[in-house]
Amino acid sequence: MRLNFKYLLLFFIISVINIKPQDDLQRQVEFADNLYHQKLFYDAITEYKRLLFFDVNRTYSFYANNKIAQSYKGGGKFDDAVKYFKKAELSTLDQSEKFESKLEIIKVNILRETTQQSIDLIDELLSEEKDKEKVKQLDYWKAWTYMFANKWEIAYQILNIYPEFSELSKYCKEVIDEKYSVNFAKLLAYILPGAGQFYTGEYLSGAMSLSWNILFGYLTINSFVEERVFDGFAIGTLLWMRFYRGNYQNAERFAENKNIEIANNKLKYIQQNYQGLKP
Amino acid sequence: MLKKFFLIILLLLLADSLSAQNVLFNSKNRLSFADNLFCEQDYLRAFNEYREYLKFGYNDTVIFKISISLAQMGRFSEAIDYNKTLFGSLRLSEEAKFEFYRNLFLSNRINEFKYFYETDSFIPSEKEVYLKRMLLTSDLLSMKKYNLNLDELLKAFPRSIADTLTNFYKRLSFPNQKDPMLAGIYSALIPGLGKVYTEEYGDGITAFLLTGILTYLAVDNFNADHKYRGWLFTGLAAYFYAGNIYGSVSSAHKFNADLRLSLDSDMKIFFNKNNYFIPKPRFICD
Repeated sequence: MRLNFKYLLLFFIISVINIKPQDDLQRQVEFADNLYHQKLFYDAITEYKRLLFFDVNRTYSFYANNKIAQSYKGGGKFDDAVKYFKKAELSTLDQSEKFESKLEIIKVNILRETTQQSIDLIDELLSEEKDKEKVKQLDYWKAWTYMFANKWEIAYQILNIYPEFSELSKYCKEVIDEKYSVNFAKLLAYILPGAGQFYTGEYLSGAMSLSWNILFGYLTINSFVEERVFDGFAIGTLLWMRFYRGNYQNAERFAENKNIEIANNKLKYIQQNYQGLKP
Repeated sequence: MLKKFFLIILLLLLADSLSAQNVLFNSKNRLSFADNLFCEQDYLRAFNEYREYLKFGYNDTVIFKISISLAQMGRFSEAIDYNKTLFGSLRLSEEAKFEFYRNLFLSNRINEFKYFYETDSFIPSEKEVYLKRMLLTSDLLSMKKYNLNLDELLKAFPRSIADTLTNFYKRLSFPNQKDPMLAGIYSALIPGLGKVYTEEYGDGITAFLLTGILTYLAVDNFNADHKYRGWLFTGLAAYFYAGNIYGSVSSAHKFNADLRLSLDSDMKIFFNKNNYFIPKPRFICD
């Protein structure tokens, strides 16, 4: 009986010693998670790094790297976020976790507007992927990439394939419809100075442009009519042409700026109001 | 027996609960985690961890690493304060003093550097050469050509960079500068020539053509008895002529400034890339 007690005691001590480090790590996870949920990203990163350092069995390797990356992302440090999402991807053998890490990298690329990197990664995944659900997810993020790159037409084409994304595709359509045609604005300005600006809603600028062109056009023609060729040439080239060129350049610039404004406003609206997944 | 058993269990549980909060945060673990962060070049976190560690007790190596972390983050003034606290250290006094000089040099506090260097009688001979390099580099980078001597420069740095140093020295001592006055005179004699002298060929030709055409138009209009147009073009020609002289003088100044900027940038890139030919601080991980 005495011997049994000794063994029991020894067993208990060994159990406590073995369980304890795991228990410490679990407590560390909770501590770091708590900081993360409070959005104290700097401290959360420190504690997840501590967890990684003491986690000799690499039990929390994927989790901690992923959380560090999320914290960096939350703090706007996108390059560091990508670095840790890659570490997370490398630290797991689970294919769904690997896929999740890659999606996160895509999302960070969308946010930091490294469009080509995002598209390359999506295309690479699409070429290997056969699971329809994952293909749909990849297409979804591809559309987001194009939305951030101000290529709403392509985003709309992608989203329009899937009925689930109808809300987002509707937003894309709205942007396409609201946008001004830069070429049309320029063409109008070529035909009638100021008309391009009127088309983009810049009425004062349009009226000014029209007035200057009428004035200098009149002076130029009048000089030629009165056989003051040199004056006509000088006014025509130095003044009339200058205002005529300024007119269509202005129309083009107004249309481009308005389009950027429309796209940015819509993107802002979507990020604030859209209930689906966002980068 | 049973009593003893429960007592031991109770003691174990008590010890466990007491240590529960602190295992990853005890002094040993804090130090090893801080060292890991230091090696990962996460200097801000390493600095914070080392400071927490110091709450457990004094450690000169940790203070030294704190100063390195601060210097790596560009917080030189704080690093210098930590360096100073180690001047009396038995093990790290020399290293700390060297880092102190390095930090003064990197933070461009050259007057302080010189003051301590000239009054310090305890500079170890093996570090002397590096301190000399810092002083010479500082003179080079601040473009104090009168302080520099090529032989001294070549002697202080490795032979492998002798050509580069000679090139820098020549560019600094005998710069291919343009004389603004001469540029102005050239442009006064022939419009645009000053610009050609300052290697702005396109501008020179444009100035020559524009001033020439306007002068011709002025003369032509006077000859045709168009006085108003004659005076108008005379005014314009005079305006462009004066502008061309002013532009040539400015262009010469800009040329000289660009020359200095390009030399400054070349030297900074070269020295920075080679870590100023000073050994890395101790404890820095490769």
